[in-house]
Amino acid sequence: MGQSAIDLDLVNRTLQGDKKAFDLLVQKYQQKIINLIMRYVKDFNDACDVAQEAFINAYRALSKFRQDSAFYTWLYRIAVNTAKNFLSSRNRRKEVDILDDDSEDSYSEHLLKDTATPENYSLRDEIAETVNSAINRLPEELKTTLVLREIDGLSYEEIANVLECPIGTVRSRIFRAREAVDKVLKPLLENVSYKV
Amino acid sequence: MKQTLDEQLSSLVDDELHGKERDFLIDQLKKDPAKQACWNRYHLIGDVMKEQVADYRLPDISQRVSLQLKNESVVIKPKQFFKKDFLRPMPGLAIAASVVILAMVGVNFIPGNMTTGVDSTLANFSNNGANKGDYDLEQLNSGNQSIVQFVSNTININRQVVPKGYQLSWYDQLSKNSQGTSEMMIISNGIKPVTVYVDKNNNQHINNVFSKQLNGFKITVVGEASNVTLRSIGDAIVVPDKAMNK
Repeated sequence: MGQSAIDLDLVNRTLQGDKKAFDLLVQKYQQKIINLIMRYVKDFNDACDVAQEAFINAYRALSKFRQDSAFYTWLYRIAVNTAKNFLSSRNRRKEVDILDDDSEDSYSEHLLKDTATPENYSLRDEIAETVNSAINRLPEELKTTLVLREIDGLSYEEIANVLECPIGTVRSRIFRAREAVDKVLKPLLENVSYKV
Repeated sequence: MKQTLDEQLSSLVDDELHGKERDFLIDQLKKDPAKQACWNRYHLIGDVMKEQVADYRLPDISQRVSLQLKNESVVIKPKQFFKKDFLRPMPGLAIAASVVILAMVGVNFIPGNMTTGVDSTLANFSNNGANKGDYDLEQLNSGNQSIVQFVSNTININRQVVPKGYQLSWYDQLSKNSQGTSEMMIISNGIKPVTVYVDKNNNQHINNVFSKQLNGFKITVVGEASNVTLRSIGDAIVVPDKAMNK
C-alpha cells in the first residue's frame, strides 16, 4: 500500500497536538483494523476492545512513525502486535487460526473466515447487496470510473488518461457515483445499531 | 467549476484534494459530525467494493478512542526537538523526546512548588541557574509570578505575563484527564519547551521528577511515569565529551 498524503497530513496534524486529526484516521481505518484483529480474536467485542487499544498504542507511538512507509502498514503491524499481546495475556492461543500468517497480502484471503456466523452473513449480505445493487444501477461511465478508483486503485490522473476525459470529469463522476450509493446506504446504516 | 464541499470530501477520500482546499475541508470535517459520518460511509463503500469488510455489525469505536485520547498527553514530533548537535549521534535513544528535552533544558519543576485552588497560584517556574553554556535556560524573569491560573474552573494561561518570547507553540491546547483534575501544557520559545503539569489532586503521578548532576549538567526528567522509570531514563542520559567541552 502506497503512502497516502492525506494520512501523512493527518499524522502531522496529530503530532502538532491536534487530536481530532487522529479521530479522522480512526474513522477511516477502524473497519479494516477491527476485521484484521478478528483474524486473531474471534470474539467481536474483544476485537473491538483490542482495536481500540491498537489505535491508542498507535497514537502513543506516533512520534516514532517513520514517514517513509505507509501509515496503514505501520498501523497494521501495531494492530497485529496488539492482538497477539491480547491473546498472550489471556492465554487464548487456541483461538488463533492463522497466527503465523500475518502478512498484509494474505489479509483479504482470510477476511471472512472467522466471522462466518449466520447473523453476520445476514447483515453483511444486506449491506453488500445494497451497495452492489446501487453500483450496478449507476450509469456505465460512473460505474467504470468508480471501479477504476476503488478496485484498481488508479489516481484521478490515471483514470483521466484511461478514459480520455478531463480530471475534473473524473472527480465529478466519482463523487456522483458515491453520492448515489450513499443515498441508499445511509438510511440502511441508520437502522443498524452499533453493537460495541 | 467550483466543487461543493461534498465533492471535495469525495476527493479527500481519494487523496486528491490539496493545498488550502484540503486544509479547509479537514477543519470542517473535524467540526462536523455529519461530514465525519459521510467520510466514514465513503470509505465503507470502498471497503465493501474491495470486500475488505468481514463484519457488518459496523462497530464505531472512533468515539471510544476519541474519549480515551482526551486522557492522553499530546504526542510530539521529535524532529522539532533535536536542535542540539550533541544529541544527534546518540545511538539507541529510546527515551521520550519530551523527557530528553526537559533534561536538556534543565528546568527545575518541583511538585512542591505547585499549589492548586481556584484563586491561588497554580504553577511557578524557577530557573535553574546552575546550567552552563548553550544549554542554559534563559532567565524567565517570572520569579514567583503566576503564569497559570484558573479561569472558570478551566485552567488557562495568562498570556500577558508569559516570559517574553515564550508562547504556547506546538501544543496550543490543554490536555485534561477524565476527571478534569490535571492538565498539561507546553510553553516554548520555539526551541526551548517548558512543560507545565497542573494537578488538582496531589496523588497523580504525572508530575514526578527525577533530577541529578552529570558532568556539569543538571539532568531533570519530568513525566507521566513512576519515579523508578524516571530514574532509569535519567540514568540513561549521556553527555558526550563534545558537549562537556563546549
